[in-house]
Amino acid sequence: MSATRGRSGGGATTSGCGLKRRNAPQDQEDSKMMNQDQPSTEDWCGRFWNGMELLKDVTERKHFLPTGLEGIDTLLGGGLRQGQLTEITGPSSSGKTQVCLHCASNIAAKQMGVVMYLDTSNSFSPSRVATIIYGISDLFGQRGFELQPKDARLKSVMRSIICESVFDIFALFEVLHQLEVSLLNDKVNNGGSKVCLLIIDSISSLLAPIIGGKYPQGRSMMISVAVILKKLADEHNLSVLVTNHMVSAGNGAVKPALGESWKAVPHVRLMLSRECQNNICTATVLKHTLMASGRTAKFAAPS
Amino acid sequence: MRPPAPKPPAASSSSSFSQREPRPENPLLLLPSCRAAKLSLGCPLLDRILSGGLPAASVTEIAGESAAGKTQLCLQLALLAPQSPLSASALFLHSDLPFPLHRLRGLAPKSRPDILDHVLVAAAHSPTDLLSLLTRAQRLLANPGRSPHRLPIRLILLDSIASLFRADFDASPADLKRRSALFFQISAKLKELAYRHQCVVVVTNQVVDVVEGDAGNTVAWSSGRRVSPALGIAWANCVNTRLFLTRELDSASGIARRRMKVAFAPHLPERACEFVIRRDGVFGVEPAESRGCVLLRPLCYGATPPAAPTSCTAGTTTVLTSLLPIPTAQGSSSPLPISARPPRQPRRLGGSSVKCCGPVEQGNADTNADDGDGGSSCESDAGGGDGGGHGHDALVAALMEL
Amino acid sequence: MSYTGSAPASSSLYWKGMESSGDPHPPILAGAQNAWDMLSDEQSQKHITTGSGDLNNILGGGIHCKEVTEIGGVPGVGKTQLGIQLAINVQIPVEYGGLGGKAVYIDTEGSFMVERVYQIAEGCISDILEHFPHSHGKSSSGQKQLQPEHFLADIYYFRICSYTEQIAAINYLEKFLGEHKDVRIVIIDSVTFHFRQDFDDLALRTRVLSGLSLKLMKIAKAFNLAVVLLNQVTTKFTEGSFQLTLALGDSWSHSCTNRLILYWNGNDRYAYLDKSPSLPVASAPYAVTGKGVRDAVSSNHKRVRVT
Repeated sequence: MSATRGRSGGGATTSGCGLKRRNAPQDQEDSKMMNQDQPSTEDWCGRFWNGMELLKDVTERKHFLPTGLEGIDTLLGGGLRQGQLTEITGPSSSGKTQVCLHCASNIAAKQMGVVMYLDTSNSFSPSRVATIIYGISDLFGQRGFELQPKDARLKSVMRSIICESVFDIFALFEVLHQLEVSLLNDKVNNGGSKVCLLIIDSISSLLAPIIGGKYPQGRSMMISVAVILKKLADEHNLSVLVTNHMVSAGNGAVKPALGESWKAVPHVRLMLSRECQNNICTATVLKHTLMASGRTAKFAAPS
Repeated sequence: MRPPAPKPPAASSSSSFSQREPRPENPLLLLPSCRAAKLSLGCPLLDRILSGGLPAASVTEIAGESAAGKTQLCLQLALLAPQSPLSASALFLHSDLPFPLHRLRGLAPKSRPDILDHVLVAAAHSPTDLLSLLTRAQRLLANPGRSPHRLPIRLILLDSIASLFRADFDASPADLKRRSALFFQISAKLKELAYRHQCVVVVTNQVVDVVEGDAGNTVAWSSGRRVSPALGIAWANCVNTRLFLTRELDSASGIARRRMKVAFAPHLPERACEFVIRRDGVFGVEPAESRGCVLLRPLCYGATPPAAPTSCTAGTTTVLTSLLPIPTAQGSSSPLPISARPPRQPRRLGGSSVKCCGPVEQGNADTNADDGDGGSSCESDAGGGDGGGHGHDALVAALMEL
Repeated sequence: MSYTGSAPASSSLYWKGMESSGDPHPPILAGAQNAWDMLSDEQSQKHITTGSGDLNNILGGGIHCKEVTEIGGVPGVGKTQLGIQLAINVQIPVEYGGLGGKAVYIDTEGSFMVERVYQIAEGCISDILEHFPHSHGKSSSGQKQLQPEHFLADIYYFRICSYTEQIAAINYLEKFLGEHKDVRIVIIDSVTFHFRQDFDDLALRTRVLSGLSLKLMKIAKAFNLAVVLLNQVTTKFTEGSFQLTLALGDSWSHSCTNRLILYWNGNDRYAYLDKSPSLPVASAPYAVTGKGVRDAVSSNHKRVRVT
């Protein structure tokens, strides 16, 4: 998969549109429009998309970002879809963070764009990322790359992964807002959005302290986060990857946390589990917009 | 007793959250009091095992099968507390009825009948009962001023925790959860009292048979059974120090060898010492040098703690499995003649624990040593005019006060 | 914030640009770091030694700063010993290869025995002197630092008697650490105890605990220190049988960066690294000695047994 096609294509579409637009024109799903604060009239009537245009948009711009883990890539038909929100859930130490690190490394190593990594549990491990990048053989196939020394290559790859620690929901709102602003400006100035993957590991640890109980604010904040993430994904053609933990569902079983109202949020929900004492992870599709759920794939947990 | 370190605001209303900022303490300033405030067991050998005695501000569990000497040890501690440097009254909470008053009187030194004044007794019949009792005790400890001649309470004994949880609990997950919540509540209360008032807290526990698994330091052999303390891992999380009393019956001579073992403790290595129960209390015995000592597990702590500079190498730092009789033990324990024993009392409740006890094997000499307490109660009945009456009044007073 | 002059249209130029200029990216997020800078930060970090070489190996050199490490195990396996050991080891002066920091010890169970801390400090000092024999002749100032009293005085000890106090103490930590920048480790022994009492509303408990864990994560990151949480073990009823798991349930299990489980293997103590973002799952033996946590001498032992 070419690294630049997605970006330049996106750039072409956007640069043709008015510069003053508050909202990017490719708001094709009007459900997303519901949440903008006081949109101007032009924004509202900006464009209506017909089916052919949508199809064109999907085939041209909504690429799959490969995670670099074969099992998951085939399971998801190529990887994480741009414009979609993917959730990985699983019990503790089932490999959620490893999948996130792998995605980030793979996207960065293949120069597909900048990866934004929001870390809530101090588990973003740069040394682990470096190891994964070394392990990606494609690195040598990149043009212009083989000329550079190994360290410089690593440096340039790792520089396109940007990490920020987020420890409460308000910080998350702020970071997402900043991101949105800079993505808008970026688009205006450079005609190309560089960020193509946003990872939040884990969303549930930010949401868990506020939801539940007798106050409804927590739930509404959770829904706002969901709306903002989906809007970002859609407007800026990002792929959003979040992790969610699992809680006890009674009688020993476990279920994804955050309840029913979050369940409707992600486009794709993937469950990981790892057997004791070995490195074989199993991924199960719990929900997918295109494919049947319930399929599983095994992959070796990177070690 | 406490160093001039910043300490939590007032010992009063302790469970309520204080508005002040939490202030850190300096461990260096706690060091002298930590070393000084130990309750001696009244025997240098046993004290050496514990490097000075039972520590204040923490919860010590004494686990053992029935007739292992748990209650005896508690009674002894209750009487030692007023005479020790701790100079404190003891609060004795018992769940096994009746309170072994005779044994207490028997143990009390004849020269000081007033000692019994400093033993306060209360009965707890259920876990909730115990919790409310502890709340009342908290008030008592916080406002000690009413009787000036009484020493402040610095020792809390609970005999036994296991018998409180005998009834009303099934093996269903819900009940187990309820049970362990109660453990943690009781333990938190005890630890809070221990910390706020620098109390020594001792809890006795019974044992259950274990069939398999559970490696590590909580399993021991006692009377030919593989046992571990009752109430499971939840309660094990609730105590700071666990002492294990075991006994082995020597088939050849019929003499029981009792051992006190440190199962775990934050400040002590795993080590053991033999002891005997005599009429006047529980005492450690020095095993003879010549006997073969078998090292059971890699001994972890090499150094002897500074509190006990003169260490008895064989006795304190090795784990003995040898079953040979100890001449010194026999000689010094002065077992009562069987004729002096009273008719066997209705079994102490502590003895018939949940699912643990098969019939207790009784060799001849073993029974003697074992029921030495029973015998002494008989004796104190005979000659206990003055001191006993005195003690009784004190007990009644204590009950009313509480 | 300026976004001009960066990232030319052609991607190859774009990558070259990254090479040449110091800061090729417009900051997409103010304050965010890129992975390369984080890597060099990480490589310059020192780790807190556990006292046992085998244990350090599976932990990637020791306990890492900026991370939250959970240590669990059955009573008596050595959780508190390891906690105290870390509180001492963090103070090993820089010239002896340590961090030279201070420690905060939050004690909820009352197992922090000062006399034991003193012993472990002595053991640590004697090991230092053994490894650096030349330092005997050093100036008195260096020697003065190597006193067990000194080590004891540099532990800030909080004794906590209820869960409200625990929440308050953790909330207060942020302020406290702001005033005491030299603290490099925060140990909570144990995080569990007061939360296993009478929380009827388990959902509330989950909320409170996940809030606490986020605070601790934040502290670890913001003050560049290690947070070590000791946890108890409980039996869990799954699929008809009881199994041992760490306490506080499934949702708590996500709230640490690393998890180390201490267990008995026969009569030997082992540690098992159960969760880590950067290290493989592994286990190693260790021992608790009079001097503190040290390497197990299993090889010697086997030899003895054979002969």
